[in-house]
Amino acid sequence: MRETVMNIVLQGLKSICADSDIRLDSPGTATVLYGPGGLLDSIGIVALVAEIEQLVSRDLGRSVTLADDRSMSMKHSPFATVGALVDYILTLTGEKL
Amino acid sequence: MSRVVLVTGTSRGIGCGLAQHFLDQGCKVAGCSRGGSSITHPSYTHFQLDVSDETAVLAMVRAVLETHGTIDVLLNNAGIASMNHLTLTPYASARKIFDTNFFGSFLFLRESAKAMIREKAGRIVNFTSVAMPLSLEGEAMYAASKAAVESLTRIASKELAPFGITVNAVGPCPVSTDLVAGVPEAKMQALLLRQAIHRYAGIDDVTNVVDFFVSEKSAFVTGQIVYLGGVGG
Repeated sequence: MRETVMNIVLQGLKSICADSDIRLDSPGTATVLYGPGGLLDSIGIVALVAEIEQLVSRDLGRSVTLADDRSMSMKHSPFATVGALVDYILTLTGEKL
Repeated sequence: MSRVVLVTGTSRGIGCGLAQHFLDQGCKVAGCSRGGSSITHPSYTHFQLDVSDETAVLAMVRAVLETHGTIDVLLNNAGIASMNHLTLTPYASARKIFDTNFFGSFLFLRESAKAMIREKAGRIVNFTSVAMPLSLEGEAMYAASKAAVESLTRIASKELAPFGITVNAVGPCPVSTDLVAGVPEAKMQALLLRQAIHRYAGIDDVTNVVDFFVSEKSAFVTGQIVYLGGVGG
């Protein structure tokens, strides 16, 4: 399951980066999405959230809302890195990390 | 290719008229209301839900996307009213008005916008009312909920502009629908006299403004509030 979610996040990230002409070299768990040294600005994060929610719905058959009360109040943002986002999606879908 | 139009509050009144209008234009229309639908058309799909039920809204938007692949136009029409002096307004009534008029609009806007962001295009029309600019006595909660919708419209227009999505609002003056059925005729006539044009609006008056907002040519029109009947903002 982790691999499936990882693929979803990477697919979404590649799509957003391609749309915005952002260079993406060997993305992986440690790739920083947002914040200092991050690939995306706030508009990019909005687009990424929309893209990944759709991919989760299509590939996992689940409706998830990534920007919920929990994610917005977390000390460590689930949108900080690819790995953090994968962990958060697994939590939302009830899968063990 | 025919556009996919999502209309809330299609059981009767303006929402029903809007759904019929876009079906007549060859669009695929998804509608919703708390009850069943009176619309029978091969291109119409009805969802029975409360617009302030987040889970139900997510399920409807997901179902529309699974069926049609996109949402081109959102018409956030669903609304309720309850005339009362504010000192006699139960808290539960105030909450219910905001749940439907504001939070329902917010939920559909948020979820539809996510689909539109992926397409980098979309048209959203929210529904306000002349009750807001006229500050009508007895309509404190209704007008306040519409003021919130107008603020949502203006800010959403800025936040969604980078994605090619326009967000506007139309503010009908009274239409002869169930929404005003309980209001005494004398009060309605007094209200009509406060408009520049002293008559009820027809569904065609509403669809005319909506057509302008959702036109593919209106890509440079966003964050606008248009009231009918010559009422100023």
